[in-house]
Amino acid sequence: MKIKTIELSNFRQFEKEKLVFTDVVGKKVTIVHGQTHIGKTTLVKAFLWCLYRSDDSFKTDPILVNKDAEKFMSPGDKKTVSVTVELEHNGFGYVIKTEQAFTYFRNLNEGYFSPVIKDPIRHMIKMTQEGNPTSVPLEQVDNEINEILPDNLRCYFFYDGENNKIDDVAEKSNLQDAVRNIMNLNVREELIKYFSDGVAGRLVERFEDKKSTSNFEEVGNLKEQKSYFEGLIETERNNNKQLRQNIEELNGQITNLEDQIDANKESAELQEKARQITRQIAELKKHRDDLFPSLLKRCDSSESVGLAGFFSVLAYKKANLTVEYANIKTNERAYKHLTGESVDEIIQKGVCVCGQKIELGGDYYKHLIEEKDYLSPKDFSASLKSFTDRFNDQVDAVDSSAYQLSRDAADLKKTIQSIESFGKQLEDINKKLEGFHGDIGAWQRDLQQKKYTKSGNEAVINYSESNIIPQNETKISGFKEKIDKYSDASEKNRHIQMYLNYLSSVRDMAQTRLDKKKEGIAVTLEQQVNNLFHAIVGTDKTELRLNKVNYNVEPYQNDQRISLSTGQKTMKNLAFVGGLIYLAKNKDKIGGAEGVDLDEPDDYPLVMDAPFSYLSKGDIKRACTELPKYCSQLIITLLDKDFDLAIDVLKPFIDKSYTLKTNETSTDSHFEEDEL
Amino acid sequence: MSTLFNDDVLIYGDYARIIKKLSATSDQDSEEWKVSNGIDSAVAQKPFGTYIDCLYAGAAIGLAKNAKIKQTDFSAIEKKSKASILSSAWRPRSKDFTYLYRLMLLTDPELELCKDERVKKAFTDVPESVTDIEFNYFLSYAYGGLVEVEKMFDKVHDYKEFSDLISTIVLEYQGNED
Repeated sequence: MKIKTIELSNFRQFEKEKLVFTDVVGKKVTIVHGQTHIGKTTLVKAFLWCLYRSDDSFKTDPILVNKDAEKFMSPGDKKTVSVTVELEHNGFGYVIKTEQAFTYFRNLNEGYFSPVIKDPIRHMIKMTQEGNPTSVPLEQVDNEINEILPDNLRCYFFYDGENNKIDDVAEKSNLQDAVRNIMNLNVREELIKYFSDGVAGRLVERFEDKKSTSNFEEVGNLKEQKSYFEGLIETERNNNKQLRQNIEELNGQITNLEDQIDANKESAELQEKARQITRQIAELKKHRDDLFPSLLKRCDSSESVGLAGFFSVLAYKKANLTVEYANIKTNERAYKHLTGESVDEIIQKGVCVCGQKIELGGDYYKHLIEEKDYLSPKDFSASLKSFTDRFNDQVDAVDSSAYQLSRDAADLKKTIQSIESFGKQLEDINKKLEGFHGDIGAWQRDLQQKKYTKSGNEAVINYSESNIIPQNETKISGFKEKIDKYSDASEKNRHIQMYLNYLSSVRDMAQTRLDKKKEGIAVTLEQQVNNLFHAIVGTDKTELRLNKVNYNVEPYQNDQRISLSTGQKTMKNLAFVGGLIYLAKNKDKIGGAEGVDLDEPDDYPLVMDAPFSYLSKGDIKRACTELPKYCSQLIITLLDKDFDLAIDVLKPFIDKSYTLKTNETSTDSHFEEDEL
Repeated sequence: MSTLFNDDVLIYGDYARIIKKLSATSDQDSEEWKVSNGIDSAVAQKPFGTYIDCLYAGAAIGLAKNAKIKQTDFSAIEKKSKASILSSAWRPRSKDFTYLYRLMLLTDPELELCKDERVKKAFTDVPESVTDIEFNYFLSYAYGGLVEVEKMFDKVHDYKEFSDLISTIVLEYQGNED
């Protein structure tokens, strides 16, 4: 930054003034000197008001308008106060004009005029590198000013030494901010954050967001499953291969067996016949062995008929009882309604129903006794009938049994004969087969078994190839598809992780550089401040120690913290401001450079308002010798007495010098350029 | 001389042997009636279950074939044992034995009774009123029948002969049909 001109219009004691500052290489100092209270400090404040539209000192007296101009204003008149600063920064030219309108009216209550003060408006015109003027939009002006000289640095480069308001700039609380701003530490830290984890909206987070949700474990599981089903297919194929080999072997064996059976066809037929006969004999024997005990059992008298039944009926039939005892049955007596007991009663009464007298032992008596045997309960004819009826019933049962027995006996006999007959046939066949030891039946069974096994093997292969293998192949295909998909995602994640790792290393690198930068800044600042301080003070007894965190500077002698006089404080301040300027000018050399705009050196002017107020002559001289070494532009306002002291030393550096004088006809002031 | 079965039933001599041979009643000194299936083997067989079944069959066959033995063949001990035979052998098959006994009373030619007397005797309560003579008559039929039974089965050595025996019995029965 280099200040080229300042133009003041109706600004306090300046009605219309313009100062042009030095622009000659090697002569970087501009001096403005004058008596007290005629506008030196106002000039410095005009810079600040123009650039920042405010200054704390204006709060108590906000009416900036020129007093003489004010005097001639009538109610309703309007005056505009303005300060225009022309400067150059980083190759761009700037014209900054801040103006504020004051409208006067009569204050009825107070009885005097007072202005209506509008907020100051700041305009900026930026000259492009080609020299074309561009009006900067109002809302962008603050940003531009901040680029040129941040607000919080103004107190260091616009130094108010007369009022000593910045009585100890080297100990101000915003020192840290000042250094950080000058050296772009904030920007660097912000950039580092951009590469760090867990900070919303940062680069790391954006990469993290792009990571696929699928994970490696899932891919691992899928691969395991795929491998399992591949194993199944492999096993199936091996099994099928083995089965095919088995089928081949079986085909050979089947052909051999078929040939063998065919060659022994006749014997085979005989063996088959023999087998059939053997089966028939076995069946017959079983029948025989079932029939005999059943037949034998029916001989037992405990059976319903048995031999006893047979022969008792035979005896009955032979006796021909019905004929033999026909008489008994036909000569049944007439006393149908009498019982033996009735006859006993008649005998007891001694008189028969017919009136005949009955004498014991007499004929009638004997007759009655004889008759009684044919009466109930001793009716023998009835008993006989019952007896023959029972036998007649048994006759039917025996007849039936006889038929059954006859049939079964014939069956048994025939069965035995059949067994004998088949036995003979079997014997004949065996004779024919004599000398033939092969078991064709076994061969045939073996053949059938082999054909069955072959067919089973073929079915297994068929099912395996048409179902199991295709099903598993489908599953594998599904797994493969997923694995490919997830693997792609995994590959992407791997890349993202690489980027993240890279970001992390970039961050670490940037942090290392930042730390190095900070260390460099601290070391350099301390060194430069001490150098300048010792040069101004003229001795190096006092050591200024820099706090590397807040950059405060404290004086020590022999490792003891000491207090400084006001003059020493001023010199310390000058040394510190010099140190700051050194930092700005050497950004690219301190603590390593990034090779980016952050390390682009800045050149700040030093505008000092009565800086030597509390210095001795020697101090002033030394200060004037040293300060120009540090800054590219030095604008100093001085009391005339200090000017006289400084001029000799400063003269080689001074391009322009102005004397501030009061107007003869008013309270206003004006500048007159000195002849050097 | 072997005795049969228990204290109540005492049958001696050949009749006991026959019963043991043909009935399944266990006794250590019984003979076996062996019959072959004709080809493969011969096995011991028993046509009758208990000795009573055997005795009962003997009685029926004796009556049918009129094959009684003479009463004089009974030993003194046998005569003494008749009561026990009646009480023991009769009891489980009393109804069947009663019919056979009645048949014997009604038909035996050697019994010197008229028809009315035979009927009266046959249908008077038996066996309480059976006399020694009448029981001896019945037992001689039964023993005679046992001899016949043995003859029948002694002819049988295999299944074929057995089927012949059955056929013969059936033919004999059917040949006497009215």
